[in-house]
Amino acid sequence: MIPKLARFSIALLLCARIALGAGAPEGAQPQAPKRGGVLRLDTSSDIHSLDPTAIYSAFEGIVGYMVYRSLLDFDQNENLIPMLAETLPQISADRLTYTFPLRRGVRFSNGREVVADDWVYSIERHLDPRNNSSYSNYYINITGATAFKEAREKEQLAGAASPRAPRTIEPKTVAGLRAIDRHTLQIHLERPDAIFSDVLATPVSFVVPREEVERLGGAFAAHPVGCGPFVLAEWSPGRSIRLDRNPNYFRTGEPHLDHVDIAIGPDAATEIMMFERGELDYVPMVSSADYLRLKRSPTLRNCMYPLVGGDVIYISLNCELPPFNDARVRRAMNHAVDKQRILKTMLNRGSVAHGLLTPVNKSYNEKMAPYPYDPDKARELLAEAGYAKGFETELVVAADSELFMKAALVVQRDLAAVGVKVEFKKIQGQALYIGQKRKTVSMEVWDWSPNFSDPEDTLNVLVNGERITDDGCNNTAFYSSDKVNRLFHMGSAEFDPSKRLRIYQRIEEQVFDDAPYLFLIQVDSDELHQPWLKGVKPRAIWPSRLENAWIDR
Amino acid sequence: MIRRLLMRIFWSFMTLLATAVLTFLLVNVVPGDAAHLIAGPKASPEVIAQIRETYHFDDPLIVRLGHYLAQLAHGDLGQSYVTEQPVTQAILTRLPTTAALSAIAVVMWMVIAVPLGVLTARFRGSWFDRGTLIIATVSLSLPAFWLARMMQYWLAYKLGWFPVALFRGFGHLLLPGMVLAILFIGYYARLIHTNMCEVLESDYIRTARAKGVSEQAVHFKHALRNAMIPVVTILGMDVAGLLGGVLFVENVFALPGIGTLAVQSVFNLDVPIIMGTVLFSAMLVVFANLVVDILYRWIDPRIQAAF
Repeated sequence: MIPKLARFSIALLLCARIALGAGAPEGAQPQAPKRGGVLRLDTSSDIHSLDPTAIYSAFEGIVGYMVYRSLLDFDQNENLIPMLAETLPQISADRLTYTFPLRRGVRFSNGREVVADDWVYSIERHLDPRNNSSYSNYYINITGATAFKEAREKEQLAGAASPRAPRTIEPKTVAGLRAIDRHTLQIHLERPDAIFSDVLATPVSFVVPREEVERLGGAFAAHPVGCGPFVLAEWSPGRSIRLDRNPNYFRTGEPHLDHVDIAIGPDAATEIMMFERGELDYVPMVSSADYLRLKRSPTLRNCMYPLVGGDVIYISLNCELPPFNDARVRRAMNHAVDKQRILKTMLNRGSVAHGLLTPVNKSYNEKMAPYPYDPDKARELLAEAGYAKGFETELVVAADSELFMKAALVVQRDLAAVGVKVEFKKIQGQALYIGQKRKTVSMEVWDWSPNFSDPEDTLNVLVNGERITDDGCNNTAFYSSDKVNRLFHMGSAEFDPSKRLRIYQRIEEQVFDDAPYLFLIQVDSDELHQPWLKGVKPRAIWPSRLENAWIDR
Repeated sequence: MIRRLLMRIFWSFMTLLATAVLTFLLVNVVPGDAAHLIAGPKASPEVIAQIRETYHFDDPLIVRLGHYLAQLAHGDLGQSYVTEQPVTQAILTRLPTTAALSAIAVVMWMVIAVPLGVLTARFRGSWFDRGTLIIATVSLSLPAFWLARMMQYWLAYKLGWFPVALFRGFGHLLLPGMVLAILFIGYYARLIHTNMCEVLESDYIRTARAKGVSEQAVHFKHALRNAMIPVVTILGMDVAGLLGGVLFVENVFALPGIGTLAVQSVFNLDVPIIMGTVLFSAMLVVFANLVVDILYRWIDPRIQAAF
């Protein structure tokens, strides 16, 4: 199933982990898991929601996988495996119909059995605009999804206009979603979509019980009910979260832990001190401030698990606004910046990016070379484009992001050397989303972490011109190329792994040449695991999986 | 007197209204789009548009201010964009931690500052007085964040005498309480010292000494009571304004109080919570002002209070 190059990428990733891990206690767990104990975690900021329509942060993902289960899942090598489906889907010859035989005897934590209707309901929830799902786009290709969504929108409008308006407008259900019987789910798509199975292995496909959602209404986000290994016992906002073992969990003997205690609030410095004092079992990320000290510590370096290339940092160059509507200017930007220097400021945790894909992506092409640092070439290209004397521009950057600010400072200095004067527009934290409004921002530092390893999840979002919208657009370069758009159509319908791989590599090559982004660096990070913590599945793609963890002491 | 009291309440109300309007305008001119924050980074444009409509984000600023003030008039501070928890509930659930931390800090600093102030007045000019002055000046100049981090590092992380962070009982508040107390001990010790020196010069103290009252009674019974009058005023205001220091200390020690709520809300651009915490602290200061005025009259009947 996996393309050759993907296998190579995974092997590369593993080698890198072994090399960087310097004896990290990964993998070697000969003894049987011990039952009992408490896993102690922390998160600097509170969880926003545990409703699958709104789970998006890495930590929400970690907790989400503890409370819920999806139809499919990814194994250690990011290959698809069945989870609540009994097998991988049976896909029809026209690639439009997916049939899932469902695992029997799986129960929600309220005791009721999970049946095919629950999957229909859970997917429809994403498409119902009243739920404000962040993931409705992932399901819009299901036959009848658009009609269902529009009907619910009309109901909403009618309800707002008049209380006597009809309560239901046809169609009431999504035509392409069918519960054939209690244990068979069938999904019919409008067009072939090679990543549809991957979507069903992410938190987007967590199953929820209708009766609990309807009973709790908006409170479901804070009182989730799923069929995962744990149940949410207590959530004290801003303070702590406690998960207890789900007695109805379908896998005998799992989970191994009795409880999971999550403290909310510690910042990066406090978190590391707590870890070193043995007050935490796991830390999801090591900051640059602590990295070298931990790396040099004979004991703590063995607790570090490197995660290679889960994130790519770039600067969008708005292709709809001058001077970046000229490809020569965009290429000049890529030549003008010394990315190696950016990497140095980040203690060389990562590598120079040659595009938007990272080693975690299946079609990652390690043979592609980044734009060489060549200020003379940059000046030459600028002169060709009519900017021999340079120009002034504005760069939007999140002032509280250490990574973004370090990158922005190097970019500012290097661009000044070729005559481009960059003024920072500093924005606090997540307010950075302002940059996604069309024709307002020339340059913006941003990053991307894929949901799964298929390149479509990254490229389709960042460079598909057909997905440009006036607001809420992740293609922050507003880049559109007919050639690339055509390749996307081909790619999503191509199921042959090697052909598919080649299509996305062609997209990458074209995007590299058109340079809608100033490709900066791929970022590596590190997790910390206490020596007694076993069974964790570290992933560079969010989130790491801790639901099968156990304590060996 | 009633008329003056009503005037005080009216101006207190106007102060709160001005705070609400000013904070609302300030928070809303910060660049950023709350709709994106609520929707999440991978939300579709339709979802964002839907959220804009629900929260009236596209209305002119003045209209939104009107909505907000109308809501306030009904005693409703709104609900968090991030957790959807009512703001009042968010503040009230965190109030006990902040109140307990503040109370521990006040007790600690008063228990140390009062004897220090009295003794340095008694042994004025001695090495003890001078040494205390130096320590007081240092403690006054320490930045709260730095002191909190240093004490956390040395006393909790290195020596293991206290828990590094979190709130799991009274013991978890001792170190953060100490940090806050250190920030105020110096100031209060000097304040009491100055007042004591002034009071000790007065005629009634001379009379007491002439009557043969012991030095201990002169200092702790007769002089201290008068010396404490201005201290009570300032203490009232400081307790209300303690939220400034609490903000840093709570964040360093990851205590689930109003300080961490305020900081998180700023990072999340969670406007209703920002507004709520600012209004809450303004309310505390305004209320403390009123209470101190009343207390003043009770402590010292010679003083005709403002009403």
